[in-house]
Amino acid sequence: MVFSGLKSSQLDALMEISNVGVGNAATALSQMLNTSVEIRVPSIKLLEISDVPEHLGGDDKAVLGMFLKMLGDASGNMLFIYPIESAERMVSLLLQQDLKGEELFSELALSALKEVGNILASAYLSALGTMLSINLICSTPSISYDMAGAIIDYTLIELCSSEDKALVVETEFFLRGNEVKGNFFLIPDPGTLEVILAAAGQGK
Amino acid sequence: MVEESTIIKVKIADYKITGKPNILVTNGLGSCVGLSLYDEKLGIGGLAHIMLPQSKNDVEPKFFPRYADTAINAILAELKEQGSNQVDIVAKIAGGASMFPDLKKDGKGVGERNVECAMGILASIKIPLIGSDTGGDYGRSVEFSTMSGEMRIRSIRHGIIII
Repeated sequence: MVFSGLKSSQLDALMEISNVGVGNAATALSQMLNTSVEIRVPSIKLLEISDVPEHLGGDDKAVLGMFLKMLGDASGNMLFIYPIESAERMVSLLLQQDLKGEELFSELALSALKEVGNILASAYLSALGTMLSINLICSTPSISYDMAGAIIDYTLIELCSSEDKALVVETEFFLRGNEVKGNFFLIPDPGTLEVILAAAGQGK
Repeated sequence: MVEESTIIKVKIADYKITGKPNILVTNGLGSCVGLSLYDEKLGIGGLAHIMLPQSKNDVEPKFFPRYADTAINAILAELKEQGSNQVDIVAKIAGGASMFPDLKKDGKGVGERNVECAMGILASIKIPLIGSDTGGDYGRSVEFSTMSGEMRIRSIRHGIIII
C-alpha cells in the first residue's frame, strides 16, 4: 500500500530525478552510436497490476524485451522494450551490417543489444545516484524476444506479493528521427521508494 | 443456426467463467499459469491467469485470482453454483515458464512452483488434470473453448499446440 499514499510533490520529485537520469542515458547512447538520440520527458503512473501488460504495448504483442535489476541502496526492475523492427535496426547500427529475422538472435546481436541496455541503465542509475548521494548499480541484462505480457510477468509477480498497484516510470526514446524507437520502464520495489524520496528531501 | 461465440478476455490476476459457445482468452503467460476448469456435461468452464502458488491466510477476496489455491476454489464455487458436480469437472494448465532462466533462485523458478502447486491442489481435490503444456523459456497465449473443452496454446517460437 506504499504506492497509493504518494503525494503529488513526491511524484514531481520522482519525475525530476528520472528526467536527469534519462538525459544522462541519452547522452551515453548518442556518444556510443555517434547519432542523435531524442528522449521524451518521463511519465510516472500508478497502475493496477492487471493493467500493466496492456500499458507496455499489449500483453500479446511480440517485442524484444530486456530486463535488468536495480541494486544497491534502492532496488527495483528496469525494462527496455523494443518493437522487433527497431531491435533489428539497432543491431544493424551497432554492428554496421544488415541483420534480419533469425540473425537477430545470434550471440553477437544479442550481446550488442545487452551492451546498449547496460550502458543506458548504468548511465541512468549513475545520474540518479549522484544526484541523491546514494549507491545504485545494475545487474547484467537478461534478454528475450517474446510477448510483452510474458516478459513483464516476472516483475509483476515479485510486486504483487506486497502491492496492489505498480508505480511505473516510463520514457520513450528515438534514434535518428523515428528509425529506432524503444521504451524504458523503471518499476521500483515498494520499500525502495522511501529511500529515494528521503534522499530527494521528500520523505514523510 | 450456429450460435455466435463471444470472446471473453481474462487479464493477469483475474479469472472469468462462461458457457457454450463462448471462448475464454488469456495472453502473455510467462511464469504465470493459465488454468481451466471445465464441466463438459453443462458446457461451462472457467479460466484463470494465476501469478503465485499459495495465498497467505488473510487474502482479500479481490485478490483470490492471483493465487493458485484461491483461484481454483473460487472458480469451483462458481461452477457449482451454476449446477456443476465436482466429479464432472476436469482441468488443463499452460504456462509456468522461466522467461529469464538466469534469474532463478534456489534452482526453482516461480513458474515451476506455480505449476507444481496447481497440480498438487487439483490432485488433492481429485480433479483430473487432462492436459498440460508448461515450462520452457517462452511465453504462451491461451484460448479455451467451452464448446469443445479444448485449450489452444500459441507461442511465438513454437507455433500452436492444442490440448
